Amino acid sequence: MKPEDKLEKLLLEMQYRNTKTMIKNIIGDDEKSRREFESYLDVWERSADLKDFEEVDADSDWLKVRSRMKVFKTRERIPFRSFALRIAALVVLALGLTWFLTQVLDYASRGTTQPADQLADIPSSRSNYVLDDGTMISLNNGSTIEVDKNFGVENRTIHLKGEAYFDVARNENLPFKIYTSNSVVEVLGTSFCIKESEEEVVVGVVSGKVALYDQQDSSKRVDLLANNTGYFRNSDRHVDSRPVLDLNSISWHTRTFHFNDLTLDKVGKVIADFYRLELIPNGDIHSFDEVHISELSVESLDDVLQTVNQSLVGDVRIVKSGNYLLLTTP
Amino acid sequence: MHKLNADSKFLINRLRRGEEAAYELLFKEYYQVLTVFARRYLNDLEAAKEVVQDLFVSLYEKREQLDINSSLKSYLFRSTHNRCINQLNAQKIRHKYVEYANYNTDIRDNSLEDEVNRTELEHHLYKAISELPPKCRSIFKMNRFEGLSNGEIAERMNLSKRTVETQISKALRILRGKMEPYTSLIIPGLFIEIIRLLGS
Repeated sequence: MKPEDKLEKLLLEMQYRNTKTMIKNIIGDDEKSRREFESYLDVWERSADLKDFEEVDADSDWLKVRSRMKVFKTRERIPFRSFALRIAALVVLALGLTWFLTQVLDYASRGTTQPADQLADIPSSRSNYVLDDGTMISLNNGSTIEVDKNFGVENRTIHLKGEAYFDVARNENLPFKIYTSNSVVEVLGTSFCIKESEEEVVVGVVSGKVALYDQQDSSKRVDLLANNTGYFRNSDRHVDSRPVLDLNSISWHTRTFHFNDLTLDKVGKVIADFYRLELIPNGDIHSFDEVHISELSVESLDDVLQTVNQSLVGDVRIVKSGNYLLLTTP
Repeated sequence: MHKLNADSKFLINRLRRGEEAAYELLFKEYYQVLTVFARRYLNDLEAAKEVVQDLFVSLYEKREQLDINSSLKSYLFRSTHNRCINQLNAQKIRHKYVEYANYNTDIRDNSLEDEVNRTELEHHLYKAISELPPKCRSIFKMNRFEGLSNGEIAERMNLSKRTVETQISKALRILRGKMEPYTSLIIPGLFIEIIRLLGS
């Protein structure tokens, strides 16, 4: 039996018989084994006293602290545009009601096995890092980054798999480079997010200037300014950009939804994507209904739905049913 | 991978400028360990959370006067410690602390630095446990956090007792490896006790 196996056996045995003889018989007089046993025992003993950590949730408590810091405005309401629009919405609602109820009943009849509470939580938290150059990175759940050797001295190069938000410290002598599977994102100092999937890399720029280009051919490149979104398609290595930025694509980072000027179905889609649910299509009803909220803090799904529904003037409501979000009427 | 460097001048500058991302990052990194640290003094988890939350709000409100002479980490632990002591005094519940301190000899005998080191070490261990493979983690937690015997875990998870023991061994092996960089912080008293047992 290897020494470390002996030590593990000893620790396990100690649960039943804590005798000096047993310790001596298994470990013997070997100094190295003693030291190893000491380190195992330290882990074993300490791990029995860590339950307090389990009961402290930094993510949810951050929302409380954040609201006390008054950093962001939340739940700002905007006025409903016109009475005429309201009437039009009601007419269309009435026309679409029959079709829609059929849809709802159809989906509801599929049955859902997932307990409701299981889907009501905010998706799991990010990991935050500050690099040596002052750059701050939030990594979304399941994403990874690796930092090159001599980071901050000879280079500012990192490798990303997944989704991350960057707030890059400015350094004109050392451009900040992020390598994904096939593309490179190069910046001097700015805030932006990157989402890499099998199909594409999407880069949304919040401030500053960012270059997105092919790893194999840097002439395939787009320069992105604030409020631009760049796309790199992996299949044909096509690079493109659009002069828009979907702030809801970084809700996981900002913990804020942006519903300004969005129709109800779009709001439903944003919420469904964030909480990893499926939004059931609802015909034409959505086109004429408005959500009277411009920004909303990310909270539990139940709270978000309650706030959104309270802002609606028409009869349509968003409800959760198992893995689905439904647009329905009372 | 460069973990959060709380003493980075960049981070402190960002805190002074009131950047939300910097506060969030600092909070996510230190809230858990500071709360457990505060709980040791207050003997009340909810009160401990409140103390640490108040500290971060205060840090934000007084950001322009933020004067860090030593390190940000030391500042956070020292401030938490002071707030706990103030609260115990203010609420005239010092007897509760004394009662707890009598029970918890580490609080009574150790210096603030020892207590910070101990809490940090346990935080590292907790994070290492959180990173264990799912099955291994569940079994290890049932044993260590819930105090279940291997037989009880086997029954609950519909596994053989041998499988449970293998998973706990695996967990120990991984944890020991991950805790190696921190072994200098092992409590000397524990070592002495082991030597005493082995030598007798």
